[in-house]
Amino acid sequence: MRQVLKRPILTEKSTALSNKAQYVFEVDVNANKIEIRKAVESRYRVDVTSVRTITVRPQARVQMTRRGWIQGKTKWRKKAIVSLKQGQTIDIVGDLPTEE
Amino acid sequence: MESTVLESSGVRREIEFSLTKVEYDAHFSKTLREAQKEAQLKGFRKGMVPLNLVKQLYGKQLEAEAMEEAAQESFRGYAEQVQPRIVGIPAVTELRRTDDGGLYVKIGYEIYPEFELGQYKGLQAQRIFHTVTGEEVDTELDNLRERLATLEPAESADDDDHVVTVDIQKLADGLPVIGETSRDIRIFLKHENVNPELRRLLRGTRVGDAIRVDLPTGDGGQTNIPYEVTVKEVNRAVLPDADNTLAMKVLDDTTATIDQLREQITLSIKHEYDSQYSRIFRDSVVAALVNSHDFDVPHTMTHMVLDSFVEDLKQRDKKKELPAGFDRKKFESEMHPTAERTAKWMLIREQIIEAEGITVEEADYEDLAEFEAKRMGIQYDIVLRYLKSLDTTQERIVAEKVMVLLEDYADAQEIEDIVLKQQEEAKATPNGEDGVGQQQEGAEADSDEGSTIKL
Repeated sequence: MRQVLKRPILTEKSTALSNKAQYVFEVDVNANKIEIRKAVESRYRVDVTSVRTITVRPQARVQMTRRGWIQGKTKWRKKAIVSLKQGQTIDIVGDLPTEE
Repeated sequence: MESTVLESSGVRREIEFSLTKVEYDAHFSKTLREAQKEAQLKGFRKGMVPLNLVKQLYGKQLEAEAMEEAAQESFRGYAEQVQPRIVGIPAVTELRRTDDGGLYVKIGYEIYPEFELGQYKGLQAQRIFHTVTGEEVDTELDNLRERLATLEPAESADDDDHVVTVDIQKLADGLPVIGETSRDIRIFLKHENVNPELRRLLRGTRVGDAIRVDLPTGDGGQTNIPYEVTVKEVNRAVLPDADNTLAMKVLDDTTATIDQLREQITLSIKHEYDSQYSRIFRDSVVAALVNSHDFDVPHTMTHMVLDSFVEDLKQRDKKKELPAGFDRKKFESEMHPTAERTAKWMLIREQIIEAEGITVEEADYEDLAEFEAKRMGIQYDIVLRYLKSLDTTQERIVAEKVMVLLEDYADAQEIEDIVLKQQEEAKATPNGEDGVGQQQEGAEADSDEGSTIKL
């Protein structure tokens, strides 16, 4: 089964967005906005008002090995900015594993 | 915050602190903010990680830090307010969160014992002295002549005035052991530390003679090992006459006489005895003082003294290491009473220093430097600079001043060592007394540690 929501993205920018009830997730590259909305609503029991997505193109990567240079690319990625109904929040931090 | 001081024993104290939730939370927030400043996480600049994220990631560790910090700060506040004279480092014995979200802390510590300085003037102690006899001077003079003896080649070692140079080869099953040869060993037959059997066998030997002898070896010399001793050289030791020529040579003075040399030897012997008996006298004064004061010594201080004993043991080793198989627990248990007495003496000494207003002046450093420079044969300025750079010099000077003071104040009973020895022997002789009485006396002497001197 395909997992739509991969992980919440925690950066300074996403933290700033969360103050406006907008949360950033990394999602499956093939997931559409409807699937993302449904996944967020069912997982966090909230109402999603809008979903904006960003597709991150693969970046070229070069690695030097003993056999020579290996050229490759990073994976396609998709990010989703989910806006919630006013007054609703998601505890993304509480969802993270602690460092023991 | 509530605090209660509990007295567990003479110098041991325990204090309890109860912090409310609000008080504890303030500590935790502070710790959290400190951690936030240092937190580094991908996606955030240094110090920009949100507090709730820091708490989520490092909460448990930070809580432990906050509890420790709260405990320390509570104790610091108490110490600043009450100012107890604390010895060593206080230790947290109990630390836990309470059901209402507050904090409970229990800290154990030791304080300097409060005691009244007893009588330290007019302490009674025996001051032993020694009168150097002509016999002692003669013996020392003979030793000196032996050291300065000249060697004349001789046919055979006819008597004990001969020096025999030998090679000593270890044997096993009658065959020489390779690599176990000691060469060119000089044996003065007259010396008392020469093995009697070896001396007997070497008497009358000539160059080239070989003898076999069993010599004791190992711990306590209980095992005998066979050796082959080959004589390589025989010389007769010609001792210089005990005359003015000898005095001139020894004293390095062309006008010196034998009487001056004898006088010098007398002074040297007297000095040896004086310094030995002075140590005993000082020990007995200190023992009397320690015994007359009854107070609890903080364990921390005793342990500090024990640590210094161990360190001293290390310093005495060539490699600055403890001896192989050194049992620290056993050593500490054996040395504990001595360490406790030393710690007690240190506390009494502090009070004496305070009572007498003893201080260290520049002149004290100069006097000590002069003494040490003369003793070690090093330039005065170098010694003075070195002594001033040492932390222990001040303590050494003060300790010496206290001892001199106590010696001056003491009610010393002068007694000659020979008389004391006779008295001791008379006491030891069973004179119609039963064994129990003597045993009790012995036990009493042991407990005094230094107040009774055994020669």
